[in-house]
Amino acid sequence: MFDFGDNADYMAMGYAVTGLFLGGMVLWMYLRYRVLGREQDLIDQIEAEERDGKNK
Amino acid sequence: MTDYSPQRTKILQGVTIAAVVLFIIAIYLDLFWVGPEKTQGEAQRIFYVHLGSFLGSFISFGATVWAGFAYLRTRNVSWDIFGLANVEIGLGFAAITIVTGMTWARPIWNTWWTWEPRLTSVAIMWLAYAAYIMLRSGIEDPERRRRFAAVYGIVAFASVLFTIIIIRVRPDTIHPVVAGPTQADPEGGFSVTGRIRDTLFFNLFTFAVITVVLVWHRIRLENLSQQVQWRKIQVLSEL
Repeated sequence: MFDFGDNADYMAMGYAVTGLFLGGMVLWMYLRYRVLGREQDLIDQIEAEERDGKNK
Repeated sequence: MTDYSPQRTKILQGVTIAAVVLFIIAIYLDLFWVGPEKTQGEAQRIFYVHLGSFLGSFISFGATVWAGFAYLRTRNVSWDIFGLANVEIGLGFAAITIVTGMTWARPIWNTWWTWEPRLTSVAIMWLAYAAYIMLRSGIEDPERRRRFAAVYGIVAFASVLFTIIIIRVRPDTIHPVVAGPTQADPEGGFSVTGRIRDTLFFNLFTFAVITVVLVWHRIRLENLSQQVQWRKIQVLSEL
């Protein structure tokens, strides 16, 4: 079992960095998805307003 | 453009869950199952994610070459998106490789960074692909941008091959070689046997799966982005 032996601080740093970078890549994609989803909703809204305007 | 079959989406969801589970198992193996190396202590455990992430960048940059040739042959925009997705994900993995290498080097080489052949070549590799992102965003004409990206993606792979080969041909490198011959006398090498070997292979497989999953999601994101752009232009032209 892991016993926090020699150079454990550097090992922890290496794994923390890996998690941070992988998490960063996932988070960046998730946030982009959310922003694009909001933009899509906005476009849908504008298109619906356009259609309503034409029908009137 | 973003109407995917439910079956494909289910496969992507399945592979994503598999990647998360594999990553958790890999971390367990790295930190608990395999013991510390005799001379390097716990720092040696960095090696599993260091090599795994390098494999991820290698797969991604290799796929960019494939995408480049396929685009030049077919002029299909999907190949351009595939190439872009791979470069971005590859850059992320290459960054992990570099930074984990630095955290390993500090206790083993007594320095965070040294301009020895392997470290220099991997820095050049990272910069070459970072330039891909910057340069392609600077070209306005879409067809020219895609053609440039395809050619650049193929040529830039030379930096990856250079990074792999250099520690095997230069006698003045201190970077350890995991597999194959070397002319140098590296500092910090160790034998890859038993549990170390098993853990390494599991990590390599895990990082390969994570790479595929991230690239797949990035492709979908780019498709969605282009669809939104196209719809924006349409709406604005109608106003």
